[in-house]
Amino acid sequence: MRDAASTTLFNIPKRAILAAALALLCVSASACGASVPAAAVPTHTPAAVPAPTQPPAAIAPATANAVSTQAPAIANTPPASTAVPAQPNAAIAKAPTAAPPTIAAQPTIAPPQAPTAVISTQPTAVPVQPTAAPTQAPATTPPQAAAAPTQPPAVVNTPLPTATVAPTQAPTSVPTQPPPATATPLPTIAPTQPPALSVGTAVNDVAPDFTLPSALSGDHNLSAYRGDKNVVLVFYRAFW
Amino acid sequence: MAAQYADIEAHDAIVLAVSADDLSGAQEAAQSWGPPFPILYNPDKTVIDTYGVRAGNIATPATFVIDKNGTIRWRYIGGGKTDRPSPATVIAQLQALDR
Repeated sequence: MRDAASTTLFNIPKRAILAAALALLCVSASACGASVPAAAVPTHTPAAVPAPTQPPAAIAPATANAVSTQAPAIANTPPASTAVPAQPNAAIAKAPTAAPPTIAAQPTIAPPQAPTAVISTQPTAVPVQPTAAPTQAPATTPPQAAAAPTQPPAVVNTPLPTATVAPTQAPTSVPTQPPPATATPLPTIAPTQPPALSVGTAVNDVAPDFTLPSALSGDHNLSAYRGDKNVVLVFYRAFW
Repeated sequence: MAAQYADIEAHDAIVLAVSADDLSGAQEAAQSWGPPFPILYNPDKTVIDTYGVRAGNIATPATFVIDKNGTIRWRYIGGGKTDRPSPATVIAQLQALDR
């Protein structure tokens, strides 16, 4: 039994070793493609499959050996996994490669944005504030000043109109004075009126008007005869 | 003056006689004397005072010739109760107004 088993066991490891070598060859010679390893793997794998089918009798030792032998296979697998890591490496290489540009781009963008935003915003905000402050201050000052000048102008304007009114009044008063000059024509009327104005009892005076009753013919008014009759006015001391 | 009244009227003039009498005295004088001109009575003497011819409670004999414009052209203020201008003098002043 041991001999048979050992032979079989020896036989199996040889096959496994061959398969592993083929796998290594295929892996190392990546150019050969999957055709070579694929053919080798399946071919070896079925070969290995019958192997387990053969050792059913010596399951434990065979399994242990197989396991130990498989372990080297698995150890060989790492090379495959090493190839796999190659992908990760490529990915990492790509990642770093892509990352650098991306990072470079980001930093490039970030710096401009940051500085721009910071600089522009801060400076802008600062200037704006100062500007607003000065603007408010000047604005307040100018408005006040403006208001002050504006009010003064208004006052000036008001005085001006007033002054204008004053001149107007002055001229008005002046024309009012001329009327007295027009009153000068009145003196012209005065010559005509002298008789009228100088009401009195002297010669060339206008006789004072009166209205008196008569004993037989009612009231008599002196002015009623003006322009119609000359009048001889006679005062008697009394008829008694 | 009543006798020459026609001559006075000839100069387009009228005679107004004023006294300090009251209505009764004026009526008595008008009826007894019967002049052709109106006799005016001024018991309160306002018009007598206005013409400045008052002498106590009566009027001083005075004559004013007033033309048609109402202007006094001639006057005579008597010095006593019987100081009066003649009718001829008054007519002469009226004649002067026509010139």
